[in-house]
Amino acid sequence: MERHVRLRCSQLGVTFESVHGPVRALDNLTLETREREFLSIVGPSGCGKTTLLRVLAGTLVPGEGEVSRIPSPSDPNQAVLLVSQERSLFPWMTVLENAAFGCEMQGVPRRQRESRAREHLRRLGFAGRERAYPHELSLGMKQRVAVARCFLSDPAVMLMDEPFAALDCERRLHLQQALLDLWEQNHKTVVFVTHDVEEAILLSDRILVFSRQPGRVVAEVPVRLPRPRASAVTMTEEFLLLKRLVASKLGLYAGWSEVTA
Amino acid sequence: MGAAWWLLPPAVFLAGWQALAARGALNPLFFPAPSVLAGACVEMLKSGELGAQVGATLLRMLLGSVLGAVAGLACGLSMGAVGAIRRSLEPFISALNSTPKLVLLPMLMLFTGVGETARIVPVALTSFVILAMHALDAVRGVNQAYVELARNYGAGRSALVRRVYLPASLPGIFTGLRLAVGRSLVITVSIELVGARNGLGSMIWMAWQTFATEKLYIGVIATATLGALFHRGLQALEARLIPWGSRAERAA
Ligand SMILES: Nc1ncnc2c1ncn2[C@@H]1O[C@H](COP(=O)(O)OP(=O)(O)OP(=O)(O)O)[C@@H](O)[C@H]1O
Ligand SMILES: [Mg+2]
Repeated sequence: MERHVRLRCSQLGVTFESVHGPVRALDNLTLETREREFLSIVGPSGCGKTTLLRVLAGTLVPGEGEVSRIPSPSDPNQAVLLVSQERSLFPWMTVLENAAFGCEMQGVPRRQRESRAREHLRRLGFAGRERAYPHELSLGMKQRVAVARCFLSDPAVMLMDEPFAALDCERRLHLQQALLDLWEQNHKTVVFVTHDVEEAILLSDRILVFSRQPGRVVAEVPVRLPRPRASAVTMTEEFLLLKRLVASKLGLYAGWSEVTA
Repeated sequence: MGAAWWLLPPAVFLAGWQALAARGALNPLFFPAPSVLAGACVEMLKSGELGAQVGATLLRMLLGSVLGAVAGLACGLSMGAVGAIRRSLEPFISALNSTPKLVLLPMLMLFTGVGETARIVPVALTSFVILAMHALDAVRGVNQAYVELARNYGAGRSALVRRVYLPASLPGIFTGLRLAVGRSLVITVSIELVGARNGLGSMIWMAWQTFATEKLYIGVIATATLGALFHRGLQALEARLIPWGSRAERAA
């Protein structure tokens, strides 16, 4: 079955004005992502990943290029929602209100949206603290609430900016699994930014490796591991080959000759 | 938690004072002993004099600061929301901010006669300016990341105001409120000092003129106590209204 393109950006360029002069964050960047695709972006810090997601979400207008959201015949919904890296929750709302915010904006009645929010929070391992305020939570907990909110709103495309970066190894594995399970149920288009090569391989159908600032795509790595996936896949030969490939494209392990899958 | 540590310094101070007074080391005309002050205070409470003076001050202060604060809040929020309003009003607000409100008293008495209006308007203006400036700053200081976030989820204008701008500026507005109430008390008592026949300020002035030293002390202590009580009350109210911790951490 041919998958429709849901989100496309072409020849994006973003320059920030800072006190030290202009900073080129993105340069001539073109990419597209399809229906039911889980796309990951890995790249060095400061290469423009967050900037790209803000542009894709429509909250930052790029200096050059354009973003198009393409409606699909099977899903008329065109919302593109971003789980941002920081300030992802409103400090003045409780966990429950934050998680239900998307539904609130869609006009879902309070009782209904709160019970749905509770359900999603529970699946992300977040029971019992629904009445807490964000300042009472750890960074990792906040990110989970933000992920729950995104899933609850059921957008066409979900953009996630390092949502699990602040978690310890065990929690991270647990949540990667939770994310995979949630995703198996809705198969929405996801653009997922991470620093973690293993995480990218475990979750994605395709990985884009970005260069140093300004961010450009230096490699595209398809991941054809079978789905549904579980974290055990990280122990397979195939996985390790992919890991070497992505890592070498990233310029990690300098001195290695490039490996091909 | 040490519940009453703050009682320690005044207790030590009063005990020392009392001891010195008992030895006759202090001139009672200038430094009446704490026990004498306490007795006088009880007398004034019994006769209802202290209550009446405190009541008069409170009435002026509350009337003025509530009127001023409501108007100032409305003004500050609309300046924050509409650039044109801000640009046209901001110079006047800053000018008013640096004018001591007390100097307006003679002018106001000229216009409105010697009466309560002339006494309350400076109090109202004090609150008005402080609230207008703090509300404006609070609205302008709202982190744009939250606005972006709400917009991304489809928030329209009214949802943005209700769910982002208002709650985000509440801590700043509260700071203004606390400041405004404190300053209102100061200005009320100052006005009473020079231009009223009742209230704590007038009581203090009369006490000075008649050399009623105890009353002088009691007036000053009552004023300070009122200020402290308002401060604590507003802090408690703030903790209730802003459970997300305006002081603890503003960012999430
Ligand atoms: N608002 C801004 N003003 C000025 N410069 C900015 C701004 N936002 C980002 N930049 C600069 O643009 C570049 C890309 O930033 P961006 O946040 O997109 O990087 P990133 O890839 O997300 O990094 P990280 O992995 O550390 O999150 C950086 O050099 C950053 O300093
Ligand atoms: Mg980033």
